[in-house]
Amino acid sequence: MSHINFIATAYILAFVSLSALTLRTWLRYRLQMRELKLMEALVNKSDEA
Amino acid sequence: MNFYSLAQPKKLEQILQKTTPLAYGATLVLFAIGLYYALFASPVDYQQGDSVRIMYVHVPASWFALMIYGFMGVCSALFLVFRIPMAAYMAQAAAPIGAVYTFISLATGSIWGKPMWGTWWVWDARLTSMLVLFLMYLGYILLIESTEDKEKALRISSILAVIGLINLPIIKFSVEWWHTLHQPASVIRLNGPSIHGSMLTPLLWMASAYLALFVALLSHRLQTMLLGFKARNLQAKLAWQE
Repeated sequence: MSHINFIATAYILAFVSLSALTLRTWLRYRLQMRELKLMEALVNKSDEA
Repeated sequence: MNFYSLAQPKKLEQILQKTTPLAYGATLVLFAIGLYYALFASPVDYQQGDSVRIMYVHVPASWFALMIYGFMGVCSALFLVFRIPMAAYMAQAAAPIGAVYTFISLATGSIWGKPMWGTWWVWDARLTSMLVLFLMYLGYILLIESTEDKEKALRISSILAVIGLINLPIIKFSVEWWHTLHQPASVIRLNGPSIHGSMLTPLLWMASAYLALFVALLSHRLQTMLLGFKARNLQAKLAWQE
């Protein structure tokens, strides 16, 4: 395969970028979900009190 | 379901919960098929050799870099005209995805340019207008992130997104309006595609994968935003109770 280094670099760069974006999106969702659960627990505790 | 029901967070949340896993699944399948065609099942170009394979990651990224900005512009216009906040949130959720697609387009284009043109970069009308698009995405994201008053940030960033729409026809027709090193369109043309079917197939599979990933990420980011609104409401309720 000619220019294999250029082809490999282009594909690795594209897929690392897309994976990083997907991972960041997933992490932000998990963090937001955790914050919501925490808030719900605090509100329930406050309602009971 | 009508158009306005999409603007209601509850209805939208129900749709997003189904859309996100489906779109992620479709992305994996489409990328697997696309990569098989792009790397193994497609022929070598008689002039470019194997470097033509870079086109299969570069071209769809460029198409969607433009289309996502178009989507952001339309959503922002809907927010400014009809005052639908969800439209502005959709634009906000789409911006980082568009920025990453534009980055991929610029970077892979540059990597292709070195063996084919003998240079990483030229200040050609197509390349420069794509760089301007990338800067527009960054400006939009920075504006939202740096403005304290979120309502004001949405309004100003929406105006910026609508103004930035001017750049889309400039990018699309730059190869016809000016003498550029970048080759003219060979797929999205009035006379139909000019490239051979054996090269069009991997391009369309990869484009479908990029589209599915955009839908998945947009849907996931909107879900995160909706969770954030719920958390803030609970925080306000808690502060009020205290």
